[in-house]
Amino acid sequence: MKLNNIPKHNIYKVPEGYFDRLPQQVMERTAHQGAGVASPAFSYWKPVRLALAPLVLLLLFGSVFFLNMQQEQKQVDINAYATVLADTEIVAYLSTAYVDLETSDFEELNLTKQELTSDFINISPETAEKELEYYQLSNLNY
Amino acid sequence: MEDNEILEKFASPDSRNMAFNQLIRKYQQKIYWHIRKMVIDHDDADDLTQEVFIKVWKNLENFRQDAQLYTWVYRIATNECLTFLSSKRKRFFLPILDITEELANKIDTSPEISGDEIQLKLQKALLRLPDKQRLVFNMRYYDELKYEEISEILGTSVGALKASYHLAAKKIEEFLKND
Repeated sequence: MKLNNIPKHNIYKVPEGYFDRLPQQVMERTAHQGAGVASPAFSYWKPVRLALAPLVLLLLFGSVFFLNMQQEQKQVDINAYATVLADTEIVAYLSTAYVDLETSDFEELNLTKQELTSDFINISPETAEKELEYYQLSNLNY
Repeated sequence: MEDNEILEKFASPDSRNMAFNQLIRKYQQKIYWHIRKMVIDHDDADDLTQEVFIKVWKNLENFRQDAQLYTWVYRIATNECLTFLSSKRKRFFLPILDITEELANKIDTSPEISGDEIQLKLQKALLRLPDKQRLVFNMRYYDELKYEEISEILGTSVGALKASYHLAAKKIEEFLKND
């Protein structure tokens, strides 16, 4: 079937008097809309908002980049400080501080016997026994 | 009243309401029928038509006269239709065929729709087109707008519109033949 053979006829209907009432209904609504035109402040806001969007993005990326740089700087500082300290000083600090160290921690340092602190190596059997009694090893469950 | 006169009078606060009233009376039928053919239901078309004129009221002062007033109003109406149909699909999570079914049902059952069998069939066939293609078809076939005018309203090239219209006409003839 060809479109040309179909008569153009509007099949849709509207309630009676609809187009007589419509202008009044719209006018009533515009009265509630205030002055009826977009305020100049609003009309300026749109282009300003469009211009601000890339600026805000730039600021955001800038902040992230700056924070990232600071983080890297801090990392570098710590590494630099660590190279200045001798391993023996680190071990001395850790053995006096309240830090739980495992034998493996010391193994990782690749220290020779001489490099370990005297406190750590030169311990008498009595002191060791006292230390072990303090922890009451017999009461520990493994 | 000519469009230029409406715009001039609208610019003056004393005659703004009168000018806007004239604008509504001049374009209400064209805009309403343009919307109605897209959304089918009278209540939806009524809501959208009012929304279109509210938007015209709010933005008319910023209207740049490099376009014709009626193509500008048509463009607002077209955007409202497309937004409405798209939000309806999203709201009900319905695929395109279900919306088509729903609108086709309205054609069959609404007391505000009446026509002979072939005209109802044509309207139901139109519903099976994508929204934008249906718009192009309605503007060319029913509203008898020139391609140049449709191009101004939709912001699409004349060539693309011609291709879209002929494709739509072919699809419709195919639907009518197979139904």
